[in-house]
Amino acid sequence: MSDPFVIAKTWQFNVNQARAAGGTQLKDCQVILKMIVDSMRGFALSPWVVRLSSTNGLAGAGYLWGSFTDVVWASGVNPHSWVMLTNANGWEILFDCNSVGPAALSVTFNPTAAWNDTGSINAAPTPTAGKAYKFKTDTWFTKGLVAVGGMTHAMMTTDGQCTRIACYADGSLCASMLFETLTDVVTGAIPWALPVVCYIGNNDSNHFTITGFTSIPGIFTRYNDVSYAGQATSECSLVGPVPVPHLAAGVPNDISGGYGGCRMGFASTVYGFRGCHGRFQDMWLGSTAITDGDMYPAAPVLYQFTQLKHMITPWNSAAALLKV
Amino acid sequence: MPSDSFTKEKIWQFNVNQLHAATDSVYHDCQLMLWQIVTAMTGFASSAWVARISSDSVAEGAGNRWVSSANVVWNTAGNAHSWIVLTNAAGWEILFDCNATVANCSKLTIIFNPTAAWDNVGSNTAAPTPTAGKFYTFKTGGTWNTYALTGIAGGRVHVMMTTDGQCTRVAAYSAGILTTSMLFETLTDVVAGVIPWAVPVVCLCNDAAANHFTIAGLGTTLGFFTRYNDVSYAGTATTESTLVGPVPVTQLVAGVPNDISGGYGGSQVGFASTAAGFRGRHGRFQDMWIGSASVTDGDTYPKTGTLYQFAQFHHMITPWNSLTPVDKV
Repeated sequence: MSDPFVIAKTWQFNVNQARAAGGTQLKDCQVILKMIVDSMRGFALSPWVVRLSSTNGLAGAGYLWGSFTDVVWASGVNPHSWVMLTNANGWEILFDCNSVGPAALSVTFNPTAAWNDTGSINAAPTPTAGKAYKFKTDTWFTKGLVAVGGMTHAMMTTDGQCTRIACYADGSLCASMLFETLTDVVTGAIPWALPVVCYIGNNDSNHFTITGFTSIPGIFTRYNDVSYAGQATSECSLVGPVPVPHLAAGVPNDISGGYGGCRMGFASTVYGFRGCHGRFQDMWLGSTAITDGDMYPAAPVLYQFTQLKHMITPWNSAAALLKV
Repeated sequence: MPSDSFTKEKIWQFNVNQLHAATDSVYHDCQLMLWQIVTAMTGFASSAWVARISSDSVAEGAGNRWVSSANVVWNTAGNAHSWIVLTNAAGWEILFDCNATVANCSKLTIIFNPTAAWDNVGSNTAAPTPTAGKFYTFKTGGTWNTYALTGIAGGRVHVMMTTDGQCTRVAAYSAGILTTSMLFETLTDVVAGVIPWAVPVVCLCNDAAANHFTIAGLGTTLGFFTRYNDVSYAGTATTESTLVGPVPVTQLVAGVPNDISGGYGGSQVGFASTAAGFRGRHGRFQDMWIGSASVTDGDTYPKTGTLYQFAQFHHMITPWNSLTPVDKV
């Protein structure tokens, strides 16, 4: 809990990226997914790099998504697009558009960057068994069929440990992604080689909300070569119990006058991985009384943090978060 | 965040494992136990509590008139009884007032006075009256010792205090059962406000067998008392928990330790209130953790290396003396 919050990492921001209504949900999804990838690639320090990709007409090394029209969804072995991003730490993420509808996506996180093949226009690369986890094979974009404009926001630490994505359409959060290295990790006889957790919200009520952070499966990770799901934690009263930022609904902290936030952790109830594992960096659980997109602090330096639904995250200190 | 190798912020001193032999009556046991607690609080090498004034029921006077447990006498206000005002290195004061009948020796009035301002020095029939608007009575003739439930029995008294006097913890056992639990705690990471929290100290004296350092006792909204901006109010302990439920992370799956660490671990403890005017989180306890409900009361941590560095009293983990196990009988 801190009020004001204290940042542990240095952050960089590709945020407030405007997007006009595409005219169709397909175009909206194409434009947004490409904006996300471009944002992840576009950071000044430790940017994600596209190692392999497919446009549905061509698969190969490097970044082949020259325009949004190169982002093509199709199911099964039909030609479709995918992109594999490599992180400064050597992890890789695969976004695979292998579904009929553009609102669905398969996302694989591969901490060892070990793959059996380089893929083709018909199939994304296959991760080496026992090393990767496919944590998303369903909805990533929840705005529905109405084509609308909005904003895309990507935030990343300068060391590449944490990447956060928030996309708005028509003023509401419609896509949410987290790729997070935990800290204060519980030590065990078998070290947790790569304490990274991944999250993608899959419906309107899940984007960075208590529900989304808690639902099983909600947040995925891998320890000792086994993938499993977990959930976020934060400070709560012991009897009741209620998350501390929500202790008195609708009112700020009576002493500080602010709404504040509590640090967030990660735990699992999955057999073999039970208990708390570590803590998110620079992430806080905020009050439900705060409007999505509100900023902290009110003074003296504005816009240092923003609250996206129930999650508080560092912001660029330069401009308010725009949602439309 | 749960940890199996807890990191201490403070330096602690220990007057613990003090044998409390069974006497011939519940009353004598209560006398002995309260006397042992006060003697332990005043016996630390650094920043010890000092008895400023006291009554042994015969007379009121400066200093500590509780020379032996026989000087700890219960009787109702207006009749001769014992009380004692303890002063802390920081200048706060605590009054233990035995203003209840002999049959109610498990009852006490406890006042925490952060400004040490009193209207008088009291007498052998009445404890001093704290100056209005500066103190809080967090136990008014309430139960301090659930010992009576166990009958006449010996036990152990444990008192731990930081060398700077900021935190004092009392745990007393009778017949192997925790029967008394008290906390006098200076919080850290205190939320800053327009009006500074002059003395961010919270006090607890659990009043039921099920409450001694348990989730129920630490979490009840009438458990901890404190004072901010000259108003007294109650609050509750907090800790890291799942968001829905919620369940403390150290009690997430009953009966099993953390699968990764192999240990039960503990999570830091905060303090919050739902009382109007004081709503929200206020700060964090120092060197205090919530442990698993699966750990036996009195177990110690860690299990390897230097043993006995921490002890778990019901659900609360606190620094221990690194020398011996926790004796309960």
